[in-house]
Amino acid sequence: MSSQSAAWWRRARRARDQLIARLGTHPAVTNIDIGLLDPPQAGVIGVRIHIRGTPTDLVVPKEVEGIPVGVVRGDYHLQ
Amino acid sequence: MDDERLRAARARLMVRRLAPAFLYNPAYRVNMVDFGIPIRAEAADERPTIRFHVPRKLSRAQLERAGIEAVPRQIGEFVTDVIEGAYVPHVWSWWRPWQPPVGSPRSRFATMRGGISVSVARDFSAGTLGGLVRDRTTGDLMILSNWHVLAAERWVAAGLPICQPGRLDGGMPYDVVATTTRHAMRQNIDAAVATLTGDRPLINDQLNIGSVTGVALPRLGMRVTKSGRTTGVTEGIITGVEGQARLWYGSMQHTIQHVMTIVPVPGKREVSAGGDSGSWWLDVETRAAVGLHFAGSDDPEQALAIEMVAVLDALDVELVTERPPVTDRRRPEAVVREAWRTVEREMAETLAR
Repeated sequence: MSSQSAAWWRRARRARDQLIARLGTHPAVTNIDIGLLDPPQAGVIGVRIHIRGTPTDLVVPKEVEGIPVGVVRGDYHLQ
Repeated sequence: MDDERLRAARARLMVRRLAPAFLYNPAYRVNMVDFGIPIRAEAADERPTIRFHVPRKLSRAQLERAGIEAVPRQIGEFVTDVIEGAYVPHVWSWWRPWQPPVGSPRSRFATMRGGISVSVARDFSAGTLGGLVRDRTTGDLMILSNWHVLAAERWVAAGLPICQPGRLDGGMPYDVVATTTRHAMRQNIDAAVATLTGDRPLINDQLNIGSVTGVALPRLGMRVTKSGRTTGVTEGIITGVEGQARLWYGSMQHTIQHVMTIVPVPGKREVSAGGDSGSWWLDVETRAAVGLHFAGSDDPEQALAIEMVAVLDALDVELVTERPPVTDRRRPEAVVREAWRTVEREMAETLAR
């Protein structure tokens, strides 16, 4: 499944770090990682912003450095 | 009102009036007085009657010797019955806790392994014992689990006693099997190790899965399995890697790095639950450890784990395996590169033929 090239992964990590710097402190953002996006981008690998609830003030770009960005639901707690 | 109902009404009234006289008089040793079916073998009348419950039935002679008053044989129209019954409240008691069935992840294990209950002796909690590791410097054998399972207090450096099973599962202060040695929260990794006291052995085995063969980096789409204290053995698929998560630890938020996301395999609803923290996620194909479980969400059902390679490096420990552990530190792109090389080689070989 991880069919992306080394250059793609380098760009994805840069994009992830940029998004962590930009959105990482937003109270609704619970996790930022690289993974499989939810529909309508199902099957696409990109940077994912995990959020709790439905924040109205969160602006997520469609892509960063050519890497697609998506929002996924995730309200995590310790287990 | 017919005779039987009148009889029952009279008996109930009689029980209510007589009961205190027998229950609170130590001369009788009566536990309970009620109205019910007689149990005595010689009972000629099977109709409900007044019954006296006593800890032990004794003969007249035994009663006299013991200085115990005999209950009346007849009260009004009722021929009484005496029944043996020593009753105690069926409540959970801290001095004799409920014990789970033998072999359950929540039970006490004479030989410990990954996937079973563990907790700090002082806390009424339970998490999962991840597995066996060795200090890279001293060679000491240790338990690897989460910081929030083995320590849970930032100011605690070392020395916390660890119980197996966890206190929530009936672990007692005398069930201490290890003491907390160090943690990796300063490196934003929810992991800690506890050195074994030597009272009980810990082996390289994950309950109901098998032994761990080595360590590997997680890859998108990798099928993984874990054995946990609460949900037992579950399978999942890695859908996210190299994440940075922010979670509440009590009243404080912590950032955790090297996070992977795991969803249940198709057809399954559950991947993890509270109490599974500390479990090791293993590659289904190789049984190499890829992640340390620490959190999850219920809607949608997802688990979060920390890359095992990062955990081991941060704590300066290594897995203990029967054969030399295989450490696969290849990032996803390296796997692709290698796959391409294999394909090119095979094509070249085919063309050469």
